Amino acid sequence: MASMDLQSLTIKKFHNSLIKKEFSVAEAVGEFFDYISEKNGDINAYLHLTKNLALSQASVVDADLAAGKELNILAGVPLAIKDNILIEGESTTAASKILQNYRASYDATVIKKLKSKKAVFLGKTNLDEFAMGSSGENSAFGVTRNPHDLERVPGGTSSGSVAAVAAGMAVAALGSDTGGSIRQPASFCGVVGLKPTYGSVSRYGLIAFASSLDQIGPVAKTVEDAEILFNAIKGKDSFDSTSVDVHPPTRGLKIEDIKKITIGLPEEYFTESLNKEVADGVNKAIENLKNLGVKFKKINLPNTKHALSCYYIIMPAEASANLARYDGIRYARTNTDYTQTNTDSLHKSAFSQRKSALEDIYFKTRGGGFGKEVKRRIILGTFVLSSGYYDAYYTKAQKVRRLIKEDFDRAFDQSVGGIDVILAPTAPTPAFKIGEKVDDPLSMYLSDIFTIPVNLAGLPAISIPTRTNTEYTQTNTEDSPHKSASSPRKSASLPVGFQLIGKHFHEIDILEIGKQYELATSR
Amino acid sequence: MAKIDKEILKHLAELARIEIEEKDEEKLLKDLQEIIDYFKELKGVNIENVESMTGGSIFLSNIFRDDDLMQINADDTQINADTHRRINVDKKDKKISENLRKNQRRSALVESFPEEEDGFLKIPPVFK
Repeated sequence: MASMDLQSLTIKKFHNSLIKKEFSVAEAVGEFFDYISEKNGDINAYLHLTKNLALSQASVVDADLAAGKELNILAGVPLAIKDNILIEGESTTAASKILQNYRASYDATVIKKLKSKKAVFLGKTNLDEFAMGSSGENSAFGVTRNPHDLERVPGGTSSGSVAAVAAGMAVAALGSDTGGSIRQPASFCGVVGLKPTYGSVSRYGLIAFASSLDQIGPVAKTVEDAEILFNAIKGKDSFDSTSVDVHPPTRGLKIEDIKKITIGLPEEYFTESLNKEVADGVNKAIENLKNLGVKFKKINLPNTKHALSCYYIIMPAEASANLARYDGIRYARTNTDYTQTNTDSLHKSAFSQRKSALEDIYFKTRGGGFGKEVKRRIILGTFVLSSGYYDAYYTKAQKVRRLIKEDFDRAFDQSVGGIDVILAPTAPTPAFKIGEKVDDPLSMYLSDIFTIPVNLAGLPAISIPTRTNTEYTQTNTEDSPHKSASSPRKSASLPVGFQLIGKHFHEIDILEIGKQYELATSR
Repeated sequence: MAKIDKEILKHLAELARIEIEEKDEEKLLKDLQEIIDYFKELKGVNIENVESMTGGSIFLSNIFRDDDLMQINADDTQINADTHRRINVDKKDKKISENLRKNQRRSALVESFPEEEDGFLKIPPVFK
C-alpha cells in the first residue's frame, strides 16, 4: 500500500479511501501500530494498545467491504480511547496505580455505540490520574509530551488522546472533560475538541470523577470529524439517568445563515493580562469570522471571576465521594499487596492506631495507590464537606454555581436581544514547559480558568485551532531549519485554540460555525 | 477563613481513609492552605435568595423506573431499555434464576474481582 499520510488522515478521508479500496482496514491498522511503536516512546500518548481487538474489528470491516456491504462513515476508523473509559476485557487504569491491574468487565455506552458503527480501537491513552490535572503530568505511568514541542506539556487531562491525534497516532479519539480536559489540551496541541452539553452523552462506563461536571467528548483533526463522532456517541441511555434526548433544530448552516448570527465576546475573558500569543490568535479568528459576515457584540459574564473557587470546591467534593470506592477490597489488587497485615505497622503508623485489619488495608491501599494530586483533592473535598465547613464552602459554591449559570442564561436570552454563541480563548497561555507548574497546584489550576465556567453551567463548547495544521508545519519548518521535535522553538509557533460556547443542547450551532470557519481558513 | 493545621489534616485523612506519610505532610498543608485561602474571594458574593445548583443537569426531575427484574444480556447490543425483554419476577421459577446466575455480565464482574471461590467474592481477613 502506498504509505499514507497519517498526520492529515481524517475520518472523512479514511472512509473515502477505504470505499475506493486504496487500502484495507487491516493494512491501515498495521500502519498505525508501526507508527505508534516508532513514536510512542517519545510522546507516551498510549498506555496500552488493544492490538487483538483492533485486528479482529478490522477483519470484520474488511469482510463487509469484500462482501460489498455499505459501510458506516466510522467503520474501520482507528480511534484512541482515554483510559478512563471502559472497553470490555481491556485494561482500564485511569492512569492510577490503584487500578493498574484492573480489566473492564463491560463496555461503556459510548464504546458500545462505536462498536455498533464498527469503529476500531487502537488502544487506551494516557491521562492525568483519574482525570485530575491540567498538564498530563499527573499520570502514574509517565508524562505525556506535546507533539509540537517535546519539552512542553500537551495539556490535560485528555493528554494522551489529544497527543495521539495531534501526532497522527490515531485518526480521532475520545476524551473526557470535567473542567476543560478535552478543550485545554486540544488548544495546546492544535486539534479540535468538543465538550458536549451535560447530559448529551452517556457517562455509563466512564470512571466517575466529578459526576455533575464530567462529559465524554470527541477529539479530532477537524470540526467535521468531531461532529461525526459526537453524533455517534450522543443520546439518552437508560444506564445514565442524567442523559437526555434533546432535538434542537437540525440544520446545515449555509454561508448566508452565518450572517444572521451574533457572537458574544465576554469582556471578562479578554483582559489586558491575556497572553499575547493567545490574544493574537483569538483576534485573528475573530477577524476571520467577521470576514464571513458574523456579527460580534461585547457581553458580560460578571461571575466568571468566581468560577475557579466554585469549581475547586464542588469538583473535589464530588471526587472525594466518587473515589471512596477504591478501598483495596474491590477491583484488582495493586502491585503492592496491602492485604497482608503486619501488626507492627499498625502501631508505627504516623497517625492514630487503626481499629482493624480492614481499616489498615483501606489506609495503606489509598495512601500508596493514589498519587499526590488525587490525595490532595480527596482531602480538599473531605474538608469542604466536613461538619463545620460544609455551609461556608460547599453550599456557598453551589449557590455561586447557579449565579455563573445564570450569567450565561442572560447572555443567551433571545427575548432581550441575546447572542447565539459565545467566543473566548480556550486557555490563558499556549502549552507551558514540563515541570513548570507541577509544584504549584494553584498556578496549575489557573490554566483551566477559561474552560471551567462551561462545565459549571453544563454548556457545550468546542475548541478549534486558530490556525490550520499545515500552517503550524510551515511555521515550524521556517522557525527551525534543523527540524527536530525536541529542538527549542519560539512559542509563537505553538498552537492556540479558541472556544465557541453554545446554548444547552445546541452543539449544532457551534459545530456549524466551526465548519464554516474551517472551510474559510483552509482555502 | 479556615486555617488548616496538622490536627485538622490528621482528622481529614482519617475521614478519607488515606494514610499520609509524615514527609508529605508539610507540603500538603501548605498547598491546601493556599487553595483554601484563594476561596476567600467568594466571601463578598451575594447569595441571598439564590437556590443551590445541585447536579449539572438543567432538567431537574426525578428519574424513575419500574421496580421489576430486567434481563441483562451481555450480547445485547441494543442499549435502549425498552428492548430489554422484561421478565416476570417469580422466585420459584428456577430456570430464570439459573439464567440470571449464569448471566455473562455477572460472571464477568466476579471474574474481575481479585479473588473468588465458588462464585463468591473472596476478601482478605478483616476481623484480625
